[in-house]
Amino acid sequence: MSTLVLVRPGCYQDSARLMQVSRELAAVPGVTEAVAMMGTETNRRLLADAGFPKAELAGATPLDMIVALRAQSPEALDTVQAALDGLLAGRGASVASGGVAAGGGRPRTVAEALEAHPDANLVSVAVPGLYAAFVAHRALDAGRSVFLFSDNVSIADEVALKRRASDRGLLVMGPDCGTAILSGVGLGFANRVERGPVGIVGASGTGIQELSCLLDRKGVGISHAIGTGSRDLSEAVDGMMTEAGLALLARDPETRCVLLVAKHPAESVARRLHVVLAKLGKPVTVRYLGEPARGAVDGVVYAGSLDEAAESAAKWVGARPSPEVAASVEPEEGPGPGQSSGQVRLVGLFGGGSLAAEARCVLAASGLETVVPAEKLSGHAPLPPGNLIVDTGDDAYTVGRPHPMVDQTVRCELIRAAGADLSVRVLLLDLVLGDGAHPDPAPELVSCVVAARAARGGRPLAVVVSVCGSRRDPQGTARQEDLLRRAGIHVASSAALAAAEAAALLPRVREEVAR
Amino acid sequence: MSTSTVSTNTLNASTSVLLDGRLEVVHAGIDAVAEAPRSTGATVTLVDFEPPSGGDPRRMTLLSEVLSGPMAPEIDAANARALARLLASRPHLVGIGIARDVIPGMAEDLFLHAGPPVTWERMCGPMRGAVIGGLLHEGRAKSVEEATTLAASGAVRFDPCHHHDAVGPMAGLVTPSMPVFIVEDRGGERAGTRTFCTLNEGLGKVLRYGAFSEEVLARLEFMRDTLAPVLSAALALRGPIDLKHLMAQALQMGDEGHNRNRAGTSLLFRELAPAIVRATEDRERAARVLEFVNGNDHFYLNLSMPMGKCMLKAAEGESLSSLVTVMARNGTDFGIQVASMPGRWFTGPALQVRGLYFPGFTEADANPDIGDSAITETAGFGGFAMGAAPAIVQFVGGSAEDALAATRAMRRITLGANSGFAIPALGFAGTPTGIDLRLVEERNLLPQINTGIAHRDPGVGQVGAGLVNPPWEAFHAALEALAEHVRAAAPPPRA
Amino acid sequence: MRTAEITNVLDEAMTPARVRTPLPCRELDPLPGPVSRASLVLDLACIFLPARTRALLSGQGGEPGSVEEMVVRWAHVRVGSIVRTLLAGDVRVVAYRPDAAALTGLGPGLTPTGDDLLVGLAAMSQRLVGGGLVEARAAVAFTTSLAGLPAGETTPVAHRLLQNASKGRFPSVLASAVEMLGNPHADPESLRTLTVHLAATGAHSGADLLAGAISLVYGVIDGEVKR
Repeated sequence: MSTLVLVRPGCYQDSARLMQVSRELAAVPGVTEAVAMMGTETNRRLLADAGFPKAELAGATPLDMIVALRAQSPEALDTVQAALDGLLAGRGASVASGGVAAGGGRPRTVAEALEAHPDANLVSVAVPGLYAAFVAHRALDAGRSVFLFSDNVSIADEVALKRRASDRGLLVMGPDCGTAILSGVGLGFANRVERGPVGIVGASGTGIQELSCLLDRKGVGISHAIGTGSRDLSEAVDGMMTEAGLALLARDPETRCVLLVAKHPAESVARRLHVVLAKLGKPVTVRYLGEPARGAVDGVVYAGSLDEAAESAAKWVGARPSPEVAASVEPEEGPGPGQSSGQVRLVGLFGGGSLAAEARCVLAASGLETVVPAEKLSGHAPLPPGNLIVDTGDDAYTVGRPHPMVDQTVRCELIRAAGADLSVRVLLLDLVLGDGAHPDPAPELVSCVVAARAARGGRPLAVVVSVCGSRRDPQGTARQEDLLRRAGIHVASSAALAAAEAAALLPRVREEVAR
Repeated sequence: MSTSTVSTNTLNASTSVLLDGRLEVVHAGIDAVAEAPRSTGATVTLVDFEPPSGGDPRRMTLLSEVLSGPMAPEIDAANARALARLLASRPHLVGIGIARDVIPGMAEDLFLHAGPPVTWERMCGPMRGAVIGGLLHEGRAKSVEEATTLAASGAVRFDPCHHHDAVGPMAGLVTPSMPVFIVEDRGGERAGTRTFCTLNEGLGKVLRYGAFSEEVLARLEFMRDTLAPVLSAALALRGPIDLKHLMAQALQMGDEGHNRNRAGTSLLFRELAPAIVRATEDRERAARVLEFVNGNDHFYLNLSMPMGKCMLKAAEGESLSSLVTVMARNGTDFGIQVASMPGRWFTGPALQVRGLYFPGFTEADANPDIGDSAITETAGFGGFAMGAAPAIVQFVGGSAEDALAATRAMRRITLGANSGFAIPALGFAGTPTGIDLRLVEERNLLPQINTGIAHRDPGVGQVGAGLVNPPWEAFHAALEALAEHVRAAAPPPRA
Repeated sequence: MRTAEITNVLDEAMTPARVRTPLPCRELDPLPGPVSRASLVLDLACIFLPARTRALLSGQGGEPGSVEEMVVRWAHVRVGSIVRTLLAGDVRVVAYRPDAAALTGLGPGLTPTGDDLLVGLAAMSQRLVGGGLVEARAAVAFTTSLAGLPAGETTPVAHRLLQNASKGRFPSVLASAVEMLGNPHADPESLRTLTVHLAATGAHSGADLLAGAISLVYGVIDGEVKR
């Protein structure tokens, strides 16, 4: 590791420029860290502590800019000096104009970015909800389709955006669109799955992720997965983008069969879509989360779970059916002394909303009624009664903080609270991997579970985790699963299987079924 | 309800490109969200997002309406027409006349001033000084006290120059007996349009900075009795002068047409000198006029301004257009006008100029921004052509790079570039022209104006020069009015 | 000297409004409405906390061992100490001086992160005096400690910002957000807008100012600095 400290005397730059300089230097190959700060005494002390040579820092004043660099080799540092001179010489240009035309510096508006990059064909928007519609409209103005990650967009704005997009033959994927995969390129939260013959249209981000990973485990690839935003199948939005997505896949030569996944479609929309699906000209399987299987209707297969939908798609494209995985677990010990069996219960804490819905559905099928708490749960208050299913990705839990797929703090608190409640015997969790998600979530999850178990005075707590991940995901799906297993956590390959396993683990279910 | 059906042919080419395996993404917002496409093979351009229109939700809704609403294509078309007319205009200096004879609506009891309307009570020091000087010059008052009483009594009416197709630097005072340049459009659809401006007095203690001492009044008399008649005769002999042509040359010689007019003045001198000599019998008289023009580096400013006004008049009145046609200050308020709503002012407080001061003066001496000279920036030169005039950037303390950057920045808020006004240092790119009110709001970037600084008290004169922006209030108000104007013009929604 | 002045003028003139420094300052509205612990809790759910702010609030950000990580960690410790001292009601100026001195000039930016945090803290401490959540004399002692920070310890712009803060004058983007926080009559949308607006100020100055202000809110709600 080599270091380099440059002091630019009297170089009084504004802060935006300082940030930009360090960003651009950090991108020089071989450079591991680049910081640019004013030479205040505190900063000099800090840099010395960080391992930069004190002597080289000594002369700097608060009016000087210090550029401190760390690189893998001394050679890498040589190129930096030249790059820095170039960057500083171009200073006025990029600060005042900010335009790409000025050479350097990020564009400040989508309109200008598109002017500078006429070949760009998609605008991805993750600005605060208040500004999201404005930005998305500007993308449509320029004739570009939109991936709209932002949430908190009003339904009126959503309808207006999608009308406009429909009129112009463009896509607006979102708002609140978590996932899309276009020609192998992931957007938002997406798993690195192989390319293949199955096309997905989905109003549910984790639904798309789960389907694509289930197929991946079967060795079946994805042509494209088009997210539509969670409200697309509401009466107001009327499935506008679902239809547009289906139309695209119908015409796409790579797509041989189509999967549609959504939560609770409005009845009128589902009816209308059915006609569309029946005439699509390609095999279609639908999974409406929370609804029971209906079999094939006019050639459209309505599956009863995501697993079943994936299986059906795999069959359409001729993959070998995978062996049935039966829940092969023994129930945990019966209720402890001093506890009535009525108090023994299950708590499901999910990061993916669709996975929570899917789990409820499976639990209900195995005779276990669950409730979704109306109030936001807190880690500091007792949990409400009943078998609980909680979506910690819900707005109530995410305002002002990142999604639980990225930051598990809230879920961890709730896991501890569930552990402290002795009536809770089974904990049902999901773990979503892939791009955009937490870079290494298993260790954190394991430590929460360990802490939760430690607070129970030896009473057992069964934990089942469904892992949504592909073989190529950056976190290493096998490694994540291994870490969980080593901590005595049951690992399932889908939310439905995890729920079935959890139900089997809960003593009370068997008693009730027996009764 | 929905009109959409599965008609695959409605999907346009750019959408099917999405599935062709060449994804190029522009991303705005949380950087982390762009990680997925970047790490899976797409090209990603990151946008440094900032909330439009200062982040105000209500204004943002209006802005979205005029940028992306159903009428937006009409607005774009209207702007294209307005800009084309602006660029096609060919202002010529055709003559010199007396204000009362040539300015439409001029009257004996009328004084014209710079900026939006202002009453005597709200006038700033330099403006009051100029009015006092004007009353003394017109012989309406014998003393300063008498002039002050008269001005406050309502004996003279005040009206903005812009209401009479005129413009005036600084206080911009035009009284009935003052001589004015007559500029006429000789090209494009609006040929025949005339605009007016007084003759430039020079630097130092001058009426436009609110000075009214003996020397100021004497100079005004010289201008009326000697300068104007001589120039007028010379012009008659020589014929009209193509100002745009002259300006284009001046830009290549280091002028920007607002704070630096040395090249323009020299070029004008070259055009006029032989005719002045030929048209004037008294050699001494001719020499005095030539000396006066030669001794005043800003003489050409009073032609670059009416030229700009003439160009912008060509754009005025284009329904739905969001092109800014006037930026003007009276030292109290800053007002702008928009092509689709001619004559309507949108105002905010005139701001302090950021600049350098002559020895002995400080910011505390400065009057807020004043004068119609921001018409130069409105027409696409002045501060917008800073890249052509590195010399004056040095004067306000910057580098040549800063000057180029300033011009490039203005391209972010303009509808086009004037290829007639090329800047050598920018590869002969045209100057940014036609401020689009909508882009100012979307990009949170105000036009940059080069300007002189007047002393806040009447009678002192210029104390420095620097840079200034319009107040946001003016643009915000104009945006609201534009949205209303557009709504009124929209066809009723179909049932 | 003259050259530096001239460069300043031009830098300011040439810089787009968003990053122009120093930020325009004003005093807090003397009566921005009552403040209550309960509404502070609710407000935390509405406000926009950019990643930078969250990093400063948690003390975690950047690669381990990197300068960024150190800035965040150092700042977090010192801010935590000031919050505890304020909430303990310490009225001695000297009680705040070591932490303030450690923060001034710390971190990247024309107004270094540490200075922004101090200004954010000062504004919030004044605001919470009104609700009786911070003792008035403690808030005064803290803001007074800012006035004594030597000019040479940070950049001139940051120094001016601190001097303003010590006189009760704060960047108006910050003042508007702070006045709205904890006000039971504030509507969540405008609170969010104001914090988004604040967060969008400068490269990260706004996020740092916000972090300073919210640190104290966390302290008041938790009785200790949240980890």
